[in-house]
Amino acid sequence: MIERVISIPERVTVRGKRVDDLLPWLLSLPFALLFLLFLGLPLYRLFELSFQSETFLGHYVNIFAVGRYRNALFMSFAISILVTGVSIVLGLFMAYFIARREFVGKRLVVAIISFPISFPGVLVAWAMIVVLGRTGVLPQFLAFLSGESASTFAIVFSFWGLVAGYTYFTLPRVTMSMVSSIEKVDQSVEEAARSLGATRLQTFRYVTLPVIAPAIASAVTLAFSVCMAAFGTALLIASGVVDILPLMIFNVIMGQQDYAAGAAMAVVLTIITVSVIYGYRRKFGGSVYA
Amino acid sequence: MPESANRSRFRDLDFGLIGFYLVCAAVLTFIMLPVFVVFFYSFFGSAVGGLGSPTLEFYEGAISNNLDAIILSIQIAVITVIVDIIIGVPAAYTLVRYDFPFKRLAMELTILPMAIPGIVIGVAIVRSWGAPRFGIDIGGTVEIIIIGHILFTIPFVIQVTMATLESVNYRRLEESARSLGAGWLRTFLYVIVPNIYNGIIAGAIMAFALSLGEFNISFFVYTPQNTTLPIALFGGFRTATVGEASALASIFILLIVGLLLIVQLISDEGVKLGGNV
Repeated sequence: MIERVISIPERVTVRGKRVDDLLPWLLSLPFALLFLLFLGLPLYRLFELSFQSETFLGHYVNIFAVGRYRNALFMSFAISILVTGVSIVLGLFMAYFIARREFVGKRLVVAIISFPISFPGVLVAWAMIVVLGRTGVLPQFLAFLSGESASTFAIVFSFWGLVAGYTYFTLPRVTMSMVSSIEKVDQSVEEAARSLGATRLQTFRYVTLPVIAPAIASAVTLAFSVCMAAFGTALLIASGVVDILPLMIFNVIMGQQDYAAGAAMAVVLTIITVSVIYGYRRKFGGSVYA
Repeated sequence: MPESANRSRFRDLDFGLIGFYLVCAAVLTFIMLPVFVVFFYSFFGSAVGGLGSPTLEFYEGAISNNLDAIILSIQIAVITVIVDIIIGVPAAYTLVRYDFPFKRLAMELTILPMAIPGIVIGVAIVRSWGAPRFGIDIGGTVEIIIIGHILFTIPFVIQVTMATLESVNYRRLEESARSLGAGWLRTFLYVIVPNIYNGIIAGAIMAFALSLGEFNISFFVYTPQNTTLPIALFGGFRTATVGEASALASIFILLIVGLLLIVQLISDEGVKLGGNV
């Protein structure tokens, strides 16, 4: 009896409900179209383009066969791995500091360490130039102390300048991604280990590290992929000095107008960064960007 | 004997702590020093050959030479954020709320523009849409820059919206609204959206900041008539004087820092870690 009473208005609104149920899908359509037309289609065409060569997979073979291209790929890996390593070690110190110490102005320290995350790469490059360039403060200061020319100390337009710049944008990301995980470590277990005679290093290695290992994996993934993909910083600092893959893509496409060869490099670079990030998601779940 | 052992252990501990603080101080210096120097140079010009007195002339030069770029960048960022919200929030809701085939895959695909290098997206877009296609001719327009920025920033809005949705009990809210007779649109606008408002705003401001700073995609699709602020920064760093380039960089830093402070004030989400450089 009661059921019938309730079911009547349901039946009346059947047609209205249909439209209503479709609405969320209709409203999601623009998003799907955006991805299809401006991400899917362009990437597919780039992929297609990368196979347009005289020999089968010619442009892909060239990445490994031509010395300049191969070196650029290796240099990208070398810088990304080096910067990831340096950033993880320094970031662990900083993340510990933020997670464990209570002090006045902690919010300020968090703000300072996190705002460079939003800097574009070209700005990071300029930040390095004013510190490490010929007119930068450090070379000027060292020149003043030693009496030699500031140019001797200007290292910005070199491999090491690139490493400094990449560390500048990687370190804040890595630090902030590890803080919350360190906050969750049970400090009483660490204290127990210490009171049983474990050294600081042993406590970290056998008590803390296993707990924060997933967070470190996330930070490594994030750091490595961001370094591999970075372009703006290198464009200003390393153009013509250090060859890395994104710069090589730019040179091949804009300089030599060889879109097909550049497309093959772009595909390789994309496969590297995408597989690193989605590989992390498969293994650990969750997002490295959270 | 035990006393001396204690003392040496105490000393070891202290050295460890001092080392720890030294590293932290070095990291903070490394982050802060370049920003200070940029601000310093924006008032004094280059330090080479002695310091003059502080002046605002670099700011005057930076603003008068780049006013168009600053205004265009803000306009692009505003439009980008509005479109992000209009098409991102419903999509995030649908992804979280409904079950459908390949739901997991669809959710994972939303972060794709963060995982793909900006230079690749830039090259791909200019290659596909630089010339007219399907009767749409957007090559060299502001629209193509905006589309690139939407692609780049919408994952942040979607991620934040999905996270906020999952943190509120939206199903219960929704059921009570709908049992009172509200249709989907009314429920969504008047019940769901107000509950995830803070998340949306935080994501939107983050998207705004990222759009302002976007360089890698814009660099491939812009024309000299449509120069955005980061492109102007790039040009300024190569051609302008140290003082003027630093002044422009300072303006940009102040914009970004202001926006991120607002994010920190209104949301617990904090600053997202993505964004290609």
